[in-house]
Amino acid sequence: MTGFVPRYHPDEILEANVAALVQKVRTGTWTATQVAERYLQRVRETEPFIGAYLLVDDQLVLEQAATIDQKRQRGEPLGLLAGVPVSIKDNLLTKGFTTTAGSRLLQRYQPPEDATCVKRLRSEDAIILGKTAMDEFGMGSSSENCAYGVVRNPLDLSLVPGGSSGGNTGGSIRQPAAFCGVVGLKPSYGRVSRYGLVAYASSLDTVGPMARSVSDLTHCLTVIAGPDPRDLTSLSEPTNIHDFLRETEEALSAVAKPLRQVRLGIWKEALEMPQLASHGRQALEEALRTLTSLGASIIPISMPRLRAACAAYYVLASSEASANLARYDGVRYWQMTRRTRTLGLGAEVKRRIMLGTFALSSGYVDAYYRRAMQVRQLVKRDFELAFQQCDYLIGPVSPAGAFALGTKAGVDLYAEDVLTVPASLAGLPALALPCNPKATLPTGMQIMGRYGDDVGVLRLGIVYERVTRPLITSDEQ
Amino acid sequence: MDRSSLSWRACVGFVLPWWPLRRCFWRGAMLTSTTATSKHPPVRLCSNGALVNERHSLSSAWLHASATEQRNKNGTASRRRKGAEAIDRVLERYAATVGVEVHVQLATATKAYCGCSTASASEPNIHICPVCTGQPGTLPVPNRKMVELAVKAGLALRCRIASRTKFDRKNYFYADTPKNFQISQYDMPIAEEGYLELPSTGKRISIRRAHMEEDSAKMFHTVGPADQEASVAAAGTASSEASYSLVDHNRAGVPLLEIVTGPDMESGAEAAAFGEELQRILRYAEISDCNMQDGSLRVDVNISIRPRVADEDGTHHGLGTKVELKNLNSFNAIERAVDHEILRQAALLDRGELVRQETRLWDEREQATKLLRVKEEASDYRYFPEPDIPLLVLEPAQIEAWRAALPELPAEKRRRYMDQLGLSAYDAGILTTDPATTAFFEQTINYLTEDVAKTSSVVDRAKAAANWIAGDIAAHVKQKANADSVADTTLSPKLLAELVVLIEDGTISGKIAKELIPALMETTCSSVRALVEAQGRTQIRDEATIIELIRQVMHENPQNVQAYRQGKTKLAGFFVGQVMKRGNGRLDPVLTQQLVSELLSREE
Repeated sequence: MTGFVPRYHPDEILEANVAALVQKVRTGTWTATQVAERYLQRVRETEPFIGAYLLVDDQLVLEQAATIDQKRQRGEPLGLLAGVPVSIKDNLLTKGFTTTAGSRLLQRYQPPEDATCVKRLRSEDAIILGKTAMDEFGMGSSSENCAYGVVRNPLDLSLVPGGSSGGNTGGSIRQPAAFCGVVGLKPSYGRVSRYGLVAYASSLDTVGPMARSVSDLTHCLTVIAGPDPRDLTSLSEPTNIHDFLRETEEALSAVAKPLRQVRLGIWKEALEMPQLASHGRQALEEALRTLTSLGASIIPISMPRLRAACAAYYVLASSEASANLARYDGVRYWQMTRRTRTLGLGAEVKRRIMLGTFALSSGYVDAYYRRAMQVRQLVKRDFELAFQQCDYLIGPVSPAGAFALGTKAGVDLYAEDVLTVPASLAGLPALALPCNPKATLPTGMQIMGRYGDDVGVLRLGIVYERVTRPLITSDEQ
Repeated sequence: MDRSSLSWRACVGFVLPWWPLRRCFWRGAMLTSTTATSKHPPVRLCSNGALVNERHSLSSAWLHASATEQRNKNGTASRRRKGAEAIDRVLERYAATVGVEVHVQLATATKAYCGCSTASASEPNIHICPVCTGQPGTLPVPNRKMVELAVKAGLALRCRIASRTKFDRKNYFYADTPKNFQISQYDMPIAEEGYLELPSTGKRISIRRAHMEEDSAKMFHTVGPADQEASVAAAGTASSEASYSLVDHNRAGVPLLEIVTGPDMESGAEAAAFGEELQRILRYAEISDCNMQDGSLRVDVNISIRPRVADEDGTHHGLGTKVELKNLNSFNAIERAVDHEILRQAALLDRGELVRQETRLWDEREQATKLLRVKEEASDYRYFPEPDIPLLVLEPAQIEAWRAALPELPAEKRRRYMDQLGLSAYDAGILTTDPATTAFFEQTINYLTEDVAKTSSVVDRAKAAANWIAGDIAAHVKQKANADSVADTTLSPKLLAELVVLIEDGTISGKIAKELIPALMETTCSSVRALVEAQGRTQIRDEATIIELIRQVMHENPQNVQAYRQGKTKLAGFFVGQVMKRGNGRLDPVLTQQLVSELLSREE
């Protein structure tokens, strides 16, 4: 299939950003039901072309909207995301919605409860619109490994949308965001609770939002971030991202050169990659000029361990996956062991389970798993050294951007993650945002920050966005 | 501590229904001395009038007895004795190396990594949640109490406690493991390098490590035509399949401590003694119920033998091939299984055959070890650090607080009883059999030290109390079906203290006290003094009354009086007996004896 999805007619509800939508639902200008109906209608128009959803249940959506409307009618205050439609990647548990993680094996799995982040979204009156498709258990970089069919890039149906799109293990938020021209944040590891995230590689899995703008994304992160007693790896520090950013935004809009004190590191090896498309390189250089004009200083930074990082990532992720996926043995889900693992799991998942099992096996564990752990430490140290010289690191998200469906598999596909994996290994916050939004196929820029500095990364993103896409952040729509 | 925990008596008693009746009879004959002691203990009189059980004098033999005596009572003495000779002969030629791997359930209220109850359940799969059934998206949160108990166990076993410890995943694929990996500890266990001292010999058994892990689910395998229930349970499989298995997750995720010893033991008796002392330590410190029948204490044994000749002439090339023994459900079984295995391996080597590295099960019926599986190579568990649980850092202050909270352990108690209360090693051993008995004894001592009479001392009173508890009371508990220790009877420490004082001040005789014990253990009583006064059983020490009774007896037996006076002084016993009988056992025996001699010797 080639071509484009049907354009929509200018529509206030679909175009409204989060701040505006929440404000209108709270004041009653729009009911949550109106918002839900409009979004459902749009999903019906686009789904035959894109196939982004595994589950959209109109009734479940409208019930949630009705609950919010009743709450307003009773005069109760509405939450921070009142009436905002949110789609949940299918590896996050959602009570009432089947959760498959893109696998045939879990085709009928009804979670007993919501993931912590989903619970938090619901308690702030967001509307869970549906469950989105993904590479099986998050294993893939193109969304072609889903047991329920491929997903297409909404900007060009002949291209992949990126993958796996969610629990950002190795780039599954940033890479699809870059391919599809939206923004995505992989927060610091532990910023968002992993409780209720179907585990792929536990030491790398990170839950994060994708949205149309950094500002919208920030609203979502505000709600889902924060410590969770059920996830011991969640960061214990409280997050008042929303308040903090509001203050920053106000301060920033008053200053001509808001980035005057900011040192931006430019990831040399990434920009010099031969695979990097020339239009991508130009777009990035243009973005850097914009950032310089806002007062930032630019420092070239060398982070040479690109390929080693990618190899280490695949060894570690596969090792952890081989244990995490062992529970799908058919004793508790689906059918008994042999058939379950033969038929229930896709080829890529089996490949990684075997790879991980091998990497952990006695006699090989030193050469693979332990060596990969050492590389991970080296990558962390590279970042620490880099952040002594600069405040943020800038680079591309993917070497060549969205590629055609069916053109990459196996190790070629693994190489797609080469630019996103280092931040994943080090657990750093990394934001992907389009740096030439007007192009037909946008190029993704990646902003990486120090561990825990999610707010700083978002602030830089917002500053850039205000200059390059003033309309999308405006509250007056 | 949970009262459901059983003392060793109940533990071993459980084995009885499986025991061939033939052996029960035999046991009765073999054990005459022991059982006779408990029914009719030979009595001798002390200066203070307290009864002393004859076994008291056996104290020097306590050491060896401690490990085996309890089992003897349950009918294995004969078998052991027969086996022991064969073992002794074999051990002259071969040295046995025995190491033990123990799993104990830590006495927490909730599971290791979730909030489900660890209580025993009336039905399968009721103490479960998404975490302990390994559902997608769930994460483990270690139980604080589990860590506390593991540290305390490490301290009680004189281990070095890790200031930094971590959890690891141990991968193995079996349907009883919900995640198909177990959260355990690999290279940074919580405790390392400790030891346990065997009470009998004082020999130190090294503790290599102790680490926390989670229990698996329980599986029920059924063979035979699938019935209605089976086809429901095995939904999805064809109903024509003949066998099915059921999985109960109530135990899945229950916290365990695995304790690994060095290869320091040399016989079945030592392995059993190690298990018994470990059980005592963990029960006293309230770390585990350590109940072998409920599986809260599971012991696996590794055993190898090597020719002693090789040791002597220097050709010794290390240990022999190791065999692992499982299904050891009592200390008795441990001892017999290890001894059986020593004999089996020695027979193989004697025939010029090799010992295979394998896992064997102890078969209680056959009294033999049976092959379970041959270990061709070490299992590969593909350990790696558990990414869902961060490194655990234990503050020294916390460890010290836990150390301070540990109660006095049995070894320390035994030493104190012997050094400060002057008890024999045997009595000290009996009094530290289980925490309930120890508590009973110590409370009794508390009452007895409140007002020490001028004529007595704490040491005398402690000895008296110890004798009662180790003697008549223990014997009576053993006969009672529903009592594991004296704490399960109506006798209270306060009443026993009163009894001891009444004997001491001569209000009642030891004989009366002996008769009172069963009554005091069966029916509630508020005061022993009130009871004996109401029953008119106080001791008679009035000389006139006693002399009158003696005169009566002498009058009725003139020939015996004459015979006595002609030199048959042995007849004094006859007169004392007759007089005591006439006094309904209430006469002061020392005084009576003295008066009888006086009157008989007096020419009239």
